[in-house]
This record gives sequence, structure tokens and C-alpha cells, in this order.
Amino acid sequence: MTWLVWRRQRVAFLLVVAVVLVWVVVLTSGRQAYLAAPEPTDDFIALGMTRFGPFWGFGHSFLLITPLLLGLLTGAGLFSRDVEQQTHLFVLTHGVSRRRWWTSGVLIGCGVVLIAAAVLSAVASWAFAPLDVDAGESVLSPAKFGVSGIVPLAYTLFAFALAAAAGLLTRSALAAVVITVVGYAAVMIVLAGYLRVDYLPPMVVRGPIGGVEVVGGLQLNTSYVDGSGAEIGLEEAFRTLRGCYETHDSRTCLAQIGITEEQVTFQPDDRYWAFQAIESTILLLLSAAVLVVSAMRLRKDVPV
Amino acid sequence: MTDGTGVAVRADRLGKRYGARWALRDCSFELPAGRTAALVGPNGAGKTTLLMIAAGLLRPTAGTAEVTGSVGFLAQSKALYRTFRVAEMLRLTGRLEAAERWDGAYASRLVDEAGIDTERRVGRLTPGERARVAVALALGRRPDLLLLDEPLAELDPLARRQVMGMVLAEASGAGTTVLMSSHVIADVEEACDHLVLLRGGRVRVAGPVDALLDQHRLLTGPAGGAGIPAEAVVLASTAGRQTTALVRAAALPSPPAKSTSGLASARPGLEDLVMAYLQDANDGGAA
Repeated sequence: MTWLVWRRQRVAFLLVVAVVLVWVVVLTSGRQAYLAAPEPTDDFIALGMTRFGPFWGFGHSFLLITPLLLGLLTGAGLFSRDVEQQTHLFVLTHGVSRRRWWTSGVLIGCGVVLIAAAVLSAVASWAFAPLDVDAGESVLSPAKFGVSGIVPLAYTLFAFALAAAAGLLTRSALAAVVITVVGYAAVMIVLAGYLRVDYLPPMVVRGPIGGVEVVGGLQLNTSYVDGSGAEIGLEEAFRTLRGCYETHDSRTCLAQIGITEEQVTFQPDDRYWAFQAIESTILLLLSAAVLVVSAMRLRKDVPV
Repeated sequence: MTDGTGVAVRADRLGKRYGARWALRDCSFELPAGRTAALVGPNGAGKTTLLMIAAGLLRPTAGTAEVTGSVGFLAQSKALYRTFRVAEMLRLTGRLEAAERWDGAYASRLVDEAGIDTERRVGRLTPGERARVAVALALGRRPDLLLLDEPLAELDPLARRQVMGMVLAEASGAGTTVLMSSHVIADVEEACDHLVLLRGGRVRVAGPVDALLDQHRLLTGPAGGAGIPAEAVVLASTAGRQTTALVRAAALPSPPAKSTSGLASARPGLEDLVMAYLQDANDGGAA
């Protein structure tokens, strides 16, 4: 069965290798070019203004969706092509159980996408390291977090699992592609956009107004604190004090309504691996769930 | 079981439901070993479902299907990897099958005998050649029971004869039981000595062809003139002044009553029998 999966999927696997090679070339040349003529900047917005801005920006954007591409290439046709062309009937009537047919496809597919994603993640971290050091970008920023460490592997695994499962359940490669694109986008938006910042309770620092400085980390929110310790949002304070600001300086105005301190909430950089582990676990569980659902096709009550 | 005395397939109140629809229901029949049987029925009668259950690809919803010995299966689509060379298909099958189950030399010889170059890709073969490769791969298991789903569909007349010749020659040589589905009775009429007729998911007729033909009479005579006992009639049709009726011999009065004496009576052909059971108004249980 292993030979068959390789033979059947070899075009898909070659495309995966091609995608990885293209990235290796692009990322390596970008790194070399930067090292030859570095442009140290204050932060990553300033970095975007340099001639390495597109390299950093597009590089990270496309790397964030590369797991989807790898998953589609390996997963969408894995079972659906067999079922569409009825060739699974040949396999299943020549000494191969449904379970063996499914398991070999899933295991080989997982192996291929995980190796590809691991290479990409390692090369991307290495290639962007000089730029990130110079620009001082937090490792928890959405772009950097999503293309480094083990999270890209987990996203790739999820895309593959979803594509393979959808292909088997719908018996259609096209439907598998559509479902995977939609599902991947939804999961990525929910995780990266909403859940990630709260994986662990954020750290809070309070200090004199204008005097709180958080080094590194992902800053989430800045607000004021009054004498009783209650939190007051920046916008709320601004609305209340609009008239005052026209004639007085801000510290005086803030003092009028009892605001004495400001507070910053943030996720520190040293939580990087904890966050990577949490997000990867979520994706791993989702992948397992869709594969388990697809395994219901292994019951002989229904045609494959 | 190749001694010709056992039972190759025994279906007992076999039923298969997809959602709310019964593809097969209450199917009971026995196929003796060594027979070449036609599984006949209109499209959607449940032929493929029955063959897939017999091949172990599907589990029945109700009843049982017992199959004796090893099974070879040929799907209607022929189900070969079109981008593979014939040699690769042979090699692949050798890898998939357990070594003791697979006679690769035999399968290769069958492909050679069909005059097919093993370096050609499956997708480039003619439909007839592809069917013969598929049959060779199914026979390579040395099956006791060979299940063929519409093996002749989409083939030209010469290819039909070649594929059929290959199946019959190898099956009779090894004593293999053959069960082949077809919605065209003419394709299987000459080859088959046993009939299973499905309609609407039920077995309508099953048994040895000779016995079935002996049990029926084909009556012809002037329209309206004769009173054939209604309970004997499988199907009666009138064209112009002529009435033709296929009847069950056992339900006819014996000796022949006056009412039917004006009719010519003949032993039906298999096609007469099949056509009558495919068209009759009775959708009830097995005949």
C-alpha cells in the first residue's frame, strides 16, 4: 500500500518539494541580501519602509498560507481521486482492508506535510532572524508567531487532515478544496485574531502616566487607573476631558478626575513556547477530530 | 468449493438500505458451485449492491450472504489506475495481495495471451483490452467465486466475445463459479447456465436456466379467444390479433383445459422468460 500511495501521489509530493525549494531559494537570497547591506530600524513598521519591507511583509503573509497550499496538494486528491475513479474498489478487492487503505494514505500524507512544514519553519526563522533582531519585533506578533516554531507544522497538518477528510466524505476533490480553504481561513482567523491573546492571562504593569515601559512582548491594551484602582479606558478619559485638554496639559486634566497611573497589559515574549504548544495542541485536536469523522467511511455499512 | 456440489453463494433474506431506500430487500437464493450465473435486472435493481455484498465490500442491513472460498471481483468501471503501465498494475497487485493468495505468473500469462504489451499505460488501452487486464488481475487471485459487474458494458461486439471467452475458458478450467451482472440478457444468454433476476431490489426468479425454462410455457393464440388462468400468467401481451403469454406451467390446468387448447404452447427462450419477469406488473415476492 505504501508503494501505491507514493506512486499515486507522486505528482502532489513533487509539487510539495517544489514549493519548499522555491521558499528556500527566496528566503536564503533575502537573508543574503540583507546581510550584505543591513538596514537596522527602530521597529517593524520602519522596517516596512526599507527596501526589505516587501521581503518581510510578503514573505510572512505567504508563509502564513503556505500550510494551506501544502495541505491541499497532499490531501485534496488523496482519497477523493480514488473514490471518484472507483479505483479504491480495485484496492479493496485485492487484499487491502478499508482501514489499511485509509491509514496508509493518512500516515504517508502526514509524514510528507510535516517534513515540508518543518523545513519551511526552520528556514524561515533562520532567514528572517537578522531582520527581526535589527527591528526588535516581538516573537509573539501574529506574523512571526505563525511562521516560526511548531505552529506552522500544526497548521499544515490541520489543512492536510481537513482536505483528506473532506475529499473522502464528499467524494470530490473540488469540494475538498473549497471546504479546506474556508475551514482553514476560519480556524486561522479565530485562533490568531481572537483566542491567541488570551491563551494565558495577560501580565499587567502599572506606573506613573507616561512612565510605563514594556520591553518586548505583545502589548494588548493601555488604560488609566484612578485612585481607587478602577480602570478607565483611554477613549473614555479623552471624551470626559475634551474641554480640559484645550486649555490645560493632559497630566493636569487627568489629575482632575483622579487618574494617577496608567496600566499596560501584555503577553511577555517568554511565553512564546507555551503559546506555540497551546495553539499546536488545539490544531492537533482539530486535525484528529476531522480524521476521526472521516474514518466513519471505514464502516462497511456505507459504500466508501 | 470447486467440486460442483457445494454452494458458492447463499443469500438469506438479504437486505441493504441506503438511508430510507432499500436497494435490496428479502433476497434469498442459492448459487451452486461451478455454475456460470447471470445476474439480470434493470438499472437500479440492486445488482451492484448485491455483488458488493458478496465481495465483502459492504455489510448487509438485514439477512446474510454466505460466500464459500475466495472471491475475485471486477468493478463495472474496471477500476484500474489509468496512469499506470500494465506491468505496474501487475506489480501493484502482487504487492497488495498476500503472497499465498496471489498467482502473479498466472495473471501475467493471461495478459500475455490477450496480446497486450505490458509497457502500455492502462489509459491508452482499448476498453476491451482494459477489461481483459482487469479480468486477468481478478483471476490472479485464483478465486473460487468470480464476481463481474457489467463486464461487457461499453464494449464492442468483438471485445465482448473476447472478454467472455477469456472468463469462460479460465472459469471452466478451474471450476470457478461465476456471477456476472448485466442489464442486457443477450450478452449472457449463451454463456450462463444459471439465472438470478433482480427487480426493484428483490429476487424475482432464481435457478438453473434449464429448469426455469421447463417450468414455464410460452402461449400464443388469437386475441381474446382464450381464457388463460390469471394466476398462471407472468406476462401477457396482445399485439394486433395475437396474444402472447408467458405462464407458469405448474399453475396451468392439467390436462390442458379447453379454454387454453386453442393456443400454441412452446418452451420459452431465456430472453422470453427474462423479458416477462422484467415487465410483469407484479412487484411482490419472489416467483
